[in-house]
Amino acid sequence: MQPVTTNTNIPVHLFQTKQFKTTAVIMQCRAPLSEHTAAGRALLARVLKKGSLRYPSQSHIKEKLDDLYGATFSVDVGKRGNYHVMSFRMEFVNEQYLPAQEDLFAEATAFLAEMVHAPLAENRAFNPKIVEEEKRTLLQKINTIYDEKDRYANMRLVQEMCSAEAYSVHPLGDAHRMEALDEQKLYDVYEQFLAEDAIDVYVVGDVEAYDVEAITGPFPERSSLPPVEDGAERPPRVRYVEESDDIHQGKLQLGYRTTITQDDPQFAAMQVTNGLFGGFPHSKLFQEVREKRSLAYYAASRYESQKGLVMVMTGIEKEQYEQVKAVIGEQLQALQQEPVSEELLAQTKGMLINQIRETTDAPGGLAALHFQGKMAGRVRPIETWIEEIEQVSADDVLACANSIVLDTVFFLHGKEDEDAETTV
Amino acid sequence: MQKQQYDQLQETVYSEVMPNGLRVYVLPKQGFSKTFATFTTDYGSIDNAFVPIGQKQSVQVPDGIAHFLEHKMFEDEEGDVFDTFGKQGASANAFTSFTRTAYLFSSTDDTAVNLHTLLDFVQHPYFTEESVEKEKGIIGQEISMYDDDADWRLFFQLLGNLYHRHPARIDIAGTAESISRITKDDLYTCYHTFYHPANMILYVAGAVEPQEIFELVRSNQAQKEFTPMDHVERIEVDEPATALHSKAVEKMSIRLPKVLLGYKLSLHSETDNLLYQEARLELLLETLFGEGSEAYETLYSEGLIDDSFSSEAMIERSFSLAAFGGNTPKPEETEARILDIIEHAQTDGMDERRFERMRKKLLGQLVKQLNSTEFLATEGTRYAFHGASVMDAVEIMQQVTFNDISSLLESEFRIDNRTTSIIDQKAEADA
Repeated sequence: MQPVTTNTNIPVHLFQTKQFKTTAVIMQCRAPLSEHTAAGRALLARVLKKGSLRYPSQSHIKEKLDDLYGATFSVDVGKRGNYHVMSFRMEFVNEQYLPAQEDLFAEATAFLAEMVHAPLAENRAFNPKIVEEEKRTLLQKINTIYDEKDRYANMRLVQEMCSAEAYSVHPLGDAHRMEALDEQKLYDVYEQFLAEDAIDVYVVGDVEAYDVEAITGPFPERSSLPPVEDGAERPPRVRYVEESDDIHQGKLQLGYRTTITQDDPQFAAMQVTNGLFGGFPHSKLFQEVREKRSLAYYAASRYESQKGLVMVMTGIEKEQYEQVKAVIGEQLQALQQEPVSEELLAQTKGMLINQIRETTDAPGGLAALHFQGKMAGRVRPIETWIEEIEQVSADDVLACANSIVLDTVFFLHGKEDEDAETTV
Repeated sequence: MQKQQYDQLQETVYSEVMPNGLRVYVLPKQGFSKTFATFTTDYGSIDNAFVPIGQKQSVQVPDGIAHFLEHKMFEDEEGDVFDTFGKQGASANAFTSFTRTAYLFSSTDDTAVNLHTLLDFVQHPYFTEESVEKEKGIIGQEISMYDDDADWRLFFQLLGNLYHRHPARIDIAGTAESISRITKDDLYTCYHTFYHPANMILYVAGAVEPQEIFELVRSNQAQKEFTPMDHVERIEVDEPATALHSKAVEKMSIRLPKVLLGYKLSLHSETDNLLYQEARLELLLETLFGEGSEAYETLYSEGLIDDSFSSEAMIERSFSLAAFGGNTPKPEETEARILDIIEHAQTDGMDERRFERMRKKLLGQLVKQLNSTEFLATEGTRYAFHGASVMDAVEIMQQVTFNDISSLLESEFRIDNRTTSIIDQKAEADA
């Protein structure tokens, strides 16, 4: 399904569908990912979510949302390739399914507009109490990435692997820059967001006439974003990094690079290749590491198509590090040397297509697929995308697999006995 | 075929009981690409003592066996069932909870073929000594993964504190030791007792024609034979109403501690009106501790909690609990403050206007969940095991009164049935 797009200063994309009992209004705002701005934008997202002139506290906001039959409102930041994306999302029940007579669409969009354009600020400064509270929460969040060992291992892999690239920046920024922010500096971040972000608004649901002018109208005219410098370089040799922690299971992560990104003609083939490598239960990694050798509970790969990375993750016994690393290497080698069978190829395509179609069964999914394409500079209608997947050949997979090069291996493992620890 | 229409929600649920006892539900969703089907047995990690089908003596099986069985079902003579689904363009999965084991697939094509596969593989056990041994390595790593998961440890420490003997205190996957004792014969014993069609529900939600689904299931089931069965006899433990320990602290390699408070409740899903009790409990927890509540906002602004703070209500066969907590720099102080809030609410009463708003919020949430075929099939099954319908939840949510939640707060939130679980940081944690 394709949206109807109104191309104005702030493009609005409408997916008109009777499929859902809810309506979603999503605003995606992106800026180049940079260590200088990530912390500020992460804090801005939280501060905007927590108060406006009309709804000055969380209690006021929640009260309003509860009255809109549990409408949900969220603002968060994420990393999509070399972009830092701030997402505002509202989802609310379509009133035809409720014992309600209110115009929930008008109410909800007015609310969202208020939160974006009339924040709780005066004299070019946000409310200091909220800024302090949200800074504290974010610093805690940055600090506690360490507490989830898989997330921590992945963050460390990306830091090591992409140290010279924008992509190494965490979407929440770093603690040091977060500390330095205050209510005035944050207001500068806000003004820059209003003036410069590339913004897309999505409306998904059973709506005929819709009016989001309250949200889009106040944004000043903007020019398009400058292209983002990627800075990716292939390493002369593979980098190996190890860390120890007081844990039971070792977390092994391998970072690979590929030159094929989402705007590439070989994008669909690369998706299929990743699916065969570690994307599904029938993939080489799952079959060889888990099913045949019982070395792990999970062993999977993920293709970061905006940036051109393939990342492998698994949880293993420390003693089996060398063996697992070798088995993973052999699996990629096999894909690089032998053409994949027609059967496996068809199976992988089927699973991928299933995944894409499933995404369209959630209001957010429809918008997300479109936005991904938009960021990559190539919006594919879903049917075109599926056709491209169907046409991928075994030779295409061979070529894609040969574009994949190992860059960095990160291993977080348990500590030695107490005595041995002094040498670590 | 029975047809139940829900006018306000504009949904219709079709159902039929097969001659062998299998209950089948179909919920067509117009405009969806996907079909989601679950095949679920009323059998989970707590069912570790029972009388096997066709026998008189009860048996006690190793902890974690329901989950182990779930893993092993995916293998048959020809290999891996994941693969079969994959070739048919479907993605398959399974999960084991305290009281249920569910096998599921989602597909956007060939629903009929995939449905046959689902029914056939779950109704065809195939275990060998060799494959059972192989699985121990994989599940061993799964257990090891959970051992490092601080939130998981926080929750199971809470259960261990609450229950003296009830098997809810046991980790769903068991331990490395308990799974090492599992044999292929144990698996067959559990399988034949609990995977009887009379103990199972098939739920299909999505892009389907009800008539075609029932026709398919009828012909599929007609080809198979099962020993007739009345009901499964489970051995109940004698569990006191009080908590075993009032507190426990475990140290892990984390930078921010976690606290979780829990109450052992006397509500039981098999005897009480499940939908009503759940609505009542959720409304109470939201009113007391939900975002926007005085408690939440005060603790947040004092830096004692962050947005990981949440509450959970759980009403299962033979046990129930309420729990709330999250990340906190000061677990002891947060615990004390939460207890104050509860005591305060018990003596001075709660905010009735807030209760009404929470009702609206939960109503909206319920309707929103009807967008999800996963939700409809898994929750639909859970309610159906109790003779209830997920669609009635909207109606029942509107019937709960302020008095209902106040009396619940009064009777179930005491000192003797309460516990606190804390995960603290290890002293030597290198920050």
